Amino acid sequence: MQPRNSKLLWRLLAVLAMFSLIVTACGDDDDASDEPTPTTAPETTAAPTADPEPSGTDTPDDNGDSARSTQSITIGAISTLDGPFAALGDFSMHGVKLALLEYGGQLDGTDTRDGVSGASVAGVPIELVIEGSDATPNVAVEATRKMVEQDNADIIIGPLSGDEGLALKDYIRDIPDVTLVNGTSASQDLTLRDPSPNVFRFGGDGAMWTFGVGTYAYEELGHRRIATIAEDYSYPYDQVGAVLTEFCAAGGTVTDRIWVPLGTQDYSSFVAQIPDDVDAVFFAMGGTDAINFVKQYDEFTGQAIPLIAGPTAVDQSVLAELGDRAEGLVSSGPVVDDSGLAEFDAFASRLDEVFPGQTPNTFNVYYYIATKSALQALEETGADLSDGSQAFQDALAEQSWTTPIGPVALDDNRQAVVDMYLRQVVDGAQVTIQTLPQVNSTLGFDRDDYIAKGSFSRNNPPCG
Amino acid sequence: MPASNRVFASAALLLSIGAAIAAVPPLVSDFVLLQIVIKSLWLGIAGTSLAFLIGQAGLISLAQTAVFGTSGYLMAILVLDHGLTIWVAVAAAVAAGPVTGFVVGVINRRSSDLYLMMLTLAIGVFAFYFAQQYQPITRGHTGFNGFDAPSLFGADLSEREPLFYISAVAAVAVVALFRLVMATPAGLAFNGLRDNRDRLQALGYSTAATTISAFAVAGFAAGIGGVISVWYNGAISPGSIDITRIIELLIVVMIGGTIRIEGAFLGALAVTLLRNYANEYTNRTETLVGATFMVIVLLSRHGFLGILISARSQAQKALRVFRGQHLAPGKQAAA
Repeated sequence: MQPRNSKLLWRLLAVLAMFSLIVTACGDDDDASDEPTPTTAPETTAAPTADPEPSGTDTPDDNGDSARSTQSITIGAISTLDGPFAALGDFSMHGVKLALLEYGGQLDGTDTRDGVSGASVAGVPIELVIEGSDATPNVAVEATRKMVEQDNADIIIGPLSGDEGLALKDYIRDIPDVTLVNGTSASQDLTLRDPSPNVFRFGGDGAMWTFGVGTYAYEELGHRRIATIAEDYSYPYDQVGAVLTEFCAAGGTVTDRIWVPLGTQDYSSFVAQIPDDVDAVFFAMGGTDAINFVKQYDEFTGQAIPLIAGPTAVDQSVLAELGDRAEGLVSSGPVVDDSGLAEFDAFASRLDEVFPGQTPNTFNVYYYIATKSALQALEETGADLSDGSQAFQDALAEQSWTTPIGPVALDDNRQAVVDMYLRQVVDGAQVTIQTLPQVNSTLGFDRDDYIAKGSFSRNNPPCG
Repeated sequence: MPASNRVFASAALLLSIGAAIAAVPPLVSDFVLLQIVIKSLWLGIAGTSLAFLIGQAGLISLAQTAVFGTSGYLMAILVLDHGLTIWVAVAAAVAAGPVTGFVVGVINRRSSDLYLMMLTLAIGVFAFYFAQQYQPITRGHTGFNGFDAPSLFGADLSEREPLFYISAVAAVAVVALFRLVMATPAGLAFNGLRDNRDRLQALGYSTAATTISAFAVAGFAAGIGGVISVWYNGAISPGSIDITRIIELLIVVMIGGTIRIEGAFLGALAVTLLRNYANEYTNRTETLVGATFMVIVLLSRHGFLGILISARSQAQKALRVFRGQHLAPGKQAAA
């Protein structure tokens, strides 16, 4: 009846079907390609799991009837298990699981979504449920809602990215007996402005991670004029904002602030915009963006103008892929490889033992700290959440301990005050230039004044 | 007599639809009501716009998320940035649907098949990048958070049951509107666009005008879907209309089937269920969604709906054989 046209249409659809399958499969490829090393582990870790399994299947039944039961506590972990940051999602789950293993847990398997069973605190069994997002806020909220409402999660660990964190803060604010312990979401306003009483962050935000670089560039490296190039969203605004706040206060000027779309592949037109007469270029990007940019900047200019890096751009999770091009790059950040802290060395060797080949990076360390802090607070309160999690949240706010990356304590907004490190890439590792002790969320500036200046944006702070 | 019969039949239909809608909330948990049922409803409403374009007019559009996003963003901007009364903003956003559809139609008035897909894909991706980059209007990557759904007759639409009822009513209204359009001569012209453009033109129709009207009609549903999605999420960001969402809408429609626009709701339900529950059984949710899509497209041209319909006709055939009616009446007469 409609011979040629409809045949063509169906061929087009078949092509689209293939395309969509390839697209969806790619997201999973990321998981898979990061997994090869851990797959050698099952012999050592899988064997003991046979015993705890029955208890693992018992407890969901108990859970079904009453939310927030005292018979077991459910921790829901969320990270980006699909999409552009899938590899980072794997790292974060390593951190969560390591903390639970310290409380008697056993790995259910080696896949990222395989849980941990048998863990308990103060005699109360701890369940772990894992959900993934694709780094979009809507998906993060849906995944978290599922953990809270279907799995009766009492504590949420995560999320990974900044805008997901802001969306989850809005969601979790209405459920005061559920507690959100942030993973690596580094948006300032998760805690700085309009905080929620049940949201805790035991790590830095984007601005804190970049603390010290601006001053160091002016005082020690002698730079007077810089340009910045960064991805065009809130987290890089915080990084550029922190650098410029210090750099401009010291007397430096910024000539250009170049913003590139997230996921840019070709940086030639942006690199061309960098003026010749600046002393240095600060760049703030993450994951593949950082890799692509550094590679192209290196090829186009031979790094004629020195680069200063944002914290995630040279995080340990991408250092290997950056290779020699990262050598010598200066940055601030939460994790260094030579801190010499006994806690750090213990964490690193435990990580390598459980997940062979893995080394500490921001994601596994932060998710570990978040989970461990929650477990410690549970232990102190007898793992009793029957008062609407009030005692637990109070204990969590009082947590003060030496993490693998140094001592941590929370301020009144339940935001961590932590050590940061000014560091340099040497032989593929992050080596300390200087420890920046006890950085707070206003970077040491007057609190009211700092907050009044408004969120960092494309052109805030103003400077030269 | 036949007229009153028809009135009676439609009243009965409306009543039974109403009863079916009212029966849902007590039957499912709060979580399922929100994250499965309501989500399927607004995703399905957006899906009907694409199902209409593909099934009735043969136009495979990848620009429906752009229409959807324009309405959603417009409502959020008017309320959160310009302080407009919510219902004025809602009216503007709903009206923006057909207007955006019209614009998309004008751009695509002369294209079909592969070129139409490429052009509409460009529009869909343009909408995403516009939302991502044009900060003064769209707030960039972060988008709009903390959008409170309005109240209607004292019922707070950020509560689950009221939101469900309004979504269900919207779904029924959208389907009724599409059916109404399909019953008019314009509906036949859309079919002509799908079946044979040359003949449509030879009959004196303008294919350009027909294409534009089809996009405008479809835009109405996409706009309503966009509005309800913002009530549901309380937020809208570029991630609501990115390439993943463009493909997802197409998957929803193809899984559901395009011979009837209602198929979009089946597809939306299937995709929502898979996304929520598949990860309890497999670590490869996305692959499973993709594989389901392929299997259904390969097995049944018309998706789940096609499977249901062919099952029904098979059953009817079997029933006829069982009753011995397989002998054609003509043959009997000849004998």
